Amino acid sequence: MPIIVNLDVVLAKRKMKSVELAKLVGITEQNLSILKTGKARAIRISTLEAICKYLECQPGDILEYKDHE
Amino acid sequence: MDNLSKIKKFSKNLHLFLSFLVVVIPLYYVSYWVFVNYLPESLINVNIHPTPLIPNELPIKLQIIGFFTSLLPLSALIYVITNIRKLFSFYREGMIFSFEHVSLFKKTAKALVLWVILSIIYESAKSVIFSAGNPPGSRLLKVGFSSAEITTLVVVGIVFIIAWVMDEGRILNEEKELTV
Repeated sequence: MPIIVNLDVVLAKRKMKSVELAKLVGITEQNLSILKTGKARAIRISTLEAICKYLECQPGDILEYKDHE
Repeated sequence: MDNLSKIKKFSKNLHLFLSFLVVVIPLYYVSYWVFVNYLPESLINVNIHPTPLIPNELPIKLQIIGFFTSLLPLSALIYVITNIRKLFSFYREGMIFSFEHVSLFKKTAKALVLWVILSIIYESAKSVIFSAGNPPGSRLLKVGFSSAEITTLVVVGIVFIIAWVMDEGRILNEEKELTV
């Protein structure tokens, strides 16, 4: 998929653990893992909003478009 | 009680009932052929109208042939019931949409078609077996396609459509599960 999820990079920069973020955002660790591994088919605006709020970042920091060519 | 709990409870009961049928239906077929000479004539309708003949006892050889012929529709029917039972075991566990469900619906529909075909063969064989003791010229081969078979085929069509809808439900469910 040409959309790359850089959540683990942002988490490392903020020195925050996935468990902690999952609790703050209000989603399960399993769902956060789905997002981190790029398996997610869709992301809710509310989830993205909460992630950006707690990681103090922009949606573009988490999601990146990379063309395969 | 929420809807899923109701589905689980209802499915548990239906699963039990279907398990009971898996045992009882073969027993019925066995006892039918074992006690065929003692059954009321209304259950063996070949020798009744329009040419009533003196009922004759079935020799053991024909009883065995009859029983083995009955295994044809019986196996298809048991396969249908076990498929439906498996479906309800998934519902009992709270699994509503999965690829397995779709596959079970399709298998059930195909097995029902097979059941209709094998039932026609069985009924035809029964007509030969029951009229085998009649005098020459009064023996019958009855091949029938009645409203019961048509109804089953309509059900098959409905089950295929349900399988199709279930597949769409499965895709939606997967989308939901992979939405964060």
